[in-house]
Amino acid sequence: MSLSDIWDVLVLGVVLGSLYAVIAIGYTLVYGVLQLLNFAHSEVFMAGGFGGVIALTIFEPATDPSGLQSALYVLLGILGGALLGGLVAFGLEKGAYRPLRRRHASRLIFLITAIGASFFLYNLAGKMFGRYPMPMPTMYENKQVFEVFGTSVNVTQLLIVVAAVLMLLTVDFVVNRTKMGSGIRAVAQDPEVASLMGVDIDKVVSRTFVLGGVMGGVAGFLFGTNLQVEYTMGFLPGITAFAAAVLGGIGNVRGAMLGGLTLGVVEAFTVEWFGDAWRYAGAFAVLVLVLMFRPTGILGERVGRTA
Amino acid sequence: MTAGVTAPKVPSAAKLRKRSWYQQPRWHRLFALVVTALVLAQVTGAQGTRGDLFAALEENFSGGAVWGWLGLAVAIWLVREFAHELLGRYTSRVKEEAGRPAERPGDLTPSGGFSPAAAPVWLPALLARTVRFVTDVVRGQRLYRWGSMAALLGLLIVLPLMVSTFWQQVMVDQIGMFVLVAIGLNVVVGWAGMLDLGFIAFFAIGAYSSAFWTGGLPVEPPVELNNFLVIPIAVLTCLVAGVLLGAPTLRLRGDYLAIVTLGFHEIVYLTAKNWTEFTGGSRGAPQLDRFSVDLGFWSYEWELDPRPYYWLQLAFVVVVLLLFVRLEHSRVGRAWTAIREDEVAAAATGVDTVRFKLLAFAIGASTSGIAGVIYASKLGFINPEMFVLLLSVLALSYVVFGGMGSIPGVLIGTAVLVWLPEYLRDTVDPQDRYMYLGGLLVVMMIYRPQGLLPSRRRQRELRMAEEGSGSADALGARPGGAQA
Amino acid sequence: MTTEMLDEAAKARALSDDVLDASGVTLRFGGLTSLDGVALRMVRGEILAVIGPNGAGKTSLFNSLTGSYVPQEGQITFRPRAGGEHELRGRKPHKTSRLGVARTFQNIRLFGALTVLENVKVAVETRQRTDAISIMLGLPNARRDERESDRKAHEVLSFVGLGHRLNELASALSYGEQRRLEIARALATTPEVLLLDEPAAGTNPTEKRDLEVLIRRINQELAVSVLLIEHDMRLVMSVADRVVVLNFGRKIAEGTPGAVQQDPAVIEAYLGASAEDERALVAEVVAEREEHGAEERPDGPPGAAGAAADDEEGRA
Repeated sequence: MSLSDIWDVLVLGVVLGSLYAVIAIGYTLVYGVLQLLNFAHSEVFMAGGFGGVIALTIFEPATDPSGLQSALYVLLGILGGALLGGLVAFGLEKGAYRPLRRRHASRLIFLITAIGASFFLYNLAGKMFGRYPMPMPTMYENKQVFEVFGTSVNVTQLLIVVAAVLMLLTVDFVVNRTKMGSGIRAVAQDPEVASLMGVDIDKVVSRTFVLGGVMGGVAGFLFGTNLQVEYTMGFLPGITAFAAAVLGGIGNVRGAMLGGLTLGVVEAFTVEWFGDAWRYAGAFAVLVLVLMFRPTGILGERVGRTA
Repeated sequence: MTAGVTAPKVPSAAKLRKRSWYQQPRWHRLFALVVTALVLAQVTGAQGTRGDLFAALEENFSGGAVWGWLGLAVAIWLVREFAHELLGRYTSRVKEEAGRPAERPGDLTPSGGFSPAAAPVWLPALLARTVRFVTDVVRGQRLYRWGSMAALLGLLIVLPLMVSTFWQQVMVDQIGMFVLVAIGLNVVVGWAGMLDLGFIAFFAIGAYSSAFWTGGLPVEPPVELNNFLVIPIAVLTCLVAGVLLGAPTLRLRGDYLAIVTLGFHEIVYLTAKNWTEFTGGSRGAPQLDRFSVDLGFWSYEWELDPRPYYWLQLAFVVVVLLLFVRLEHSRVGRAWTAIREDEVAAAATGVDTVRFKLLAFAIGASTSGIAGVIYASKLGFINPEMFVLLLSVLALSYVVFGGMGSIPGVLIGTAVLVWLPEYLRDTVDPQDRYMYLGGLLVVMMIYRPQGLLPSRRRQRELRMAEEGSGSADALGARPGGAQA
Repeated sequence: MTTEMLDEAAKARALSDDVLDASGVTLRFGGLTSLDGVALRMVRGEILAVIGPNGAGKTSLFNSLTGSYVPQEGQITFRPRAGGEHELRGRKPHKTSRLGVARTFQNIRLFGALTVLENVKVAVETRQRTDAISIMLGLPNARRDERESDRKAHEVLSFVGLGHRLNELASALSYGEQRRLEIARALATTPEVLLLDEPAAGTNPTEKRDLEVLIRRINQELAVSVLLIEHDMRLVMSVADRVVVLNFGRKIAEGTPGAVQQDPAVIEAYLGASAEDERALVAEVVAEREEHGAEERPDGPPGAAGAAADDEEGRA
């Protein structure tokens, strides 16, 4: 394959990978504070997609938006996604996980709860908004922005990558530099000590869910912009992002970013070389291989103490 | 239990702040109930329509139903907040009365005699005590164990004669199949304490083995075999697959193992779907042999009628169960429990942890393989969509729902959870079935995490975990920061 | 049976050969050196105590001997009665146990959801070979093994004085009983060397006296060599034949209890060096965390142990 083909695939991979990275953050943050595989995070992602659609449907974008209008619409969609994503994540924690934490349930119980919540949520969304794929209302003209080595990059792709990078920087900053972040890190390292030191664990956990939910929600909106929004849209990207979080070292924020990007690129090349049918096989093959040699992921598992 | 004078807990530093009215727990509870009511209004309401995003929302939140739900929520809240004390006093009196032991029938007389005024207290208590007394007497009988088993088996044998063809099909295609799968998965998850999210992969391998050896795939097998002969081969294939998957991954901790098994499933599924020359691709194997026996003097063929399949399946389940019950109460079962409880101590005691985990993987996988063979031959066709990832996830929830580690629990749990969506098919909008299933799982895990019929060992583990000693599974530390 | 065993014990003593011979054992965690060239010679049939201040590396030594840790350097040779020599360094824990080196844990680690009898049966059964298929089919050899395991477990439990609590849950026992159950579980593997990690910790004076008797009986009646970590000096002085003193991962003294008590280096170790206490404490805490975190092997492949160990450190 020629160099420009490689660039084509690479661009697709990076776009996909940055979405995975953002979703994976949600898994990793929650894992960090609760050691819980939040299987239902994929539904948070899905909710974000619907959040975007809802926000944009309410405000009905003009058919031929100006540049400023376009920017506003995008912002609106992002807000909608973030809001609904954060809300669902918050509700999930309050309604399903907190009662379990109160009674010191085992991890398997958490996992099954998460699975149940996932079933419930995506079917509920299907019932609410119809079980059909729906496109994101048009916010801008999706034209080519620039070329890298003969590969064109369009607005959506640029938007996804820029938004993802901004979010990743924000999360990294929040976790490592703010008071909220130090609470998250404290709980991740030793909840008991943290609570003795006066950290309100419930609050930290809640905020962690919301932070992860906002990320997932925006990712859902971006994903919907690129493709479509549907009630079942969460499952596969969710699983892949989950794999990405594990690949990078679950509980490790930068690991999740790295893992997401890696799996996105791997997926793009798998599709290119083996066909779309094998899309998810490559990612899992890479995951299994990496875990065989580094059983705790590329960067190892820890929150806060990023490599 | 006087609700008024609960001793205040020592407040943590963070909680010393003064609370406003809306931070009071009772308003929290009202809020939670209202939200639940709104969700329920949507859950039981109308379906969304294509093209109009808000159609369902508008319909569900404008009609009378939503007010009904809200009214119910408020009513529950009022009872909870204001009649709570009264209710608590009443239930504690009933509980106290019901707790009195009864050795002879004469002991059943209520403590205060049969006074009509106190009837609300002693009547329910008397009922509970009588039931307990009778079951104790019955259970005391030597015959009870075998008698009840035989009765249950008898019932299971005649059950398909009493239900419609539709339910016969469900019993065979779904319940029977998943019961076998769940029994296998229980070995891995319930006994050995490993998290397997890709168990249906072995089921698929069993089904495809069956298709291959009976000549149903595009590739010709070396010899075409009868389905009964395929079973040992499928068991062996799954065993090897189990060991191949297990050997490199068993040193991974719980969560990592989960994602790797999930990946394994996905790879098996994609292979079935895409390796068209061997597996027939997404078309699968459209025409498969059914079970048949030909002993020369007697021959029989299982055909379209689901009942003979049911009995065949039942026979397999009974045999597998008899074998596994022995295993559970043997050195192998004890070693699994030891590994699940404390892997380090088990290894220090000389338990070869890797070998026993592999054994669990292999045994579980081979059970699933048997189910695969029966499944393929019963339906007469297979395709990759019958083995999607969702089923692996569901299988795990069947095991936990029933009470992992407990064979009766796993049987009942699987039967209930497989039966429910089929039952709901006629009761609610069929599209919503899995929403109810999901909701049920969440509610169940919150209020009865040990499952429907938990095993005694498992119950102890959960109790110890709640008291804060030991973790309830081999998956490492507990979530939520409680220290093991 | 007892006299026969006594004879054997006497013979073993008479031979006075080494059952365990460790030299140059060095164990590091990241920058911390937990054991620094420790040498340890254990004569067959003796009761050897290892003492030292907190963080001296006693538990690390135990973990190195039983395969929970793999020291970076050194040799650990085990010579069973049957003859031959086995290198223990880097041997997996269950294999070490099978050779005849059993241990207990400082923080009792029983299988809480199993009964007392079942706890011990697990240990007995690690010596059995019946396969899963014979068990499932209920073949005669499986039944024979089951009976044998029951018999042996009963025997061991009555030896330690738990014969009356067979069907209790392990977690329902009192602290002292749990200690004895842990010892019973170790004895059920018919060890030649028994490593006891602070068996008297948390027990009351009566239980301590019982324990003292039990250790002596294990040593004499069962002819088991006992390696004992203990903080309770009275217990050490009364049961130990010899004492080894560790401090900061080094052996600083060795000899009879009386001699060691007089050793200036030992007195110094216990009284002085408070400035370095803190560092030692950190090392001990890290080591303990390691122990909690399953069989982590410090020098294993870079993945498994390394990263997990880091993680444990992170949570410390």
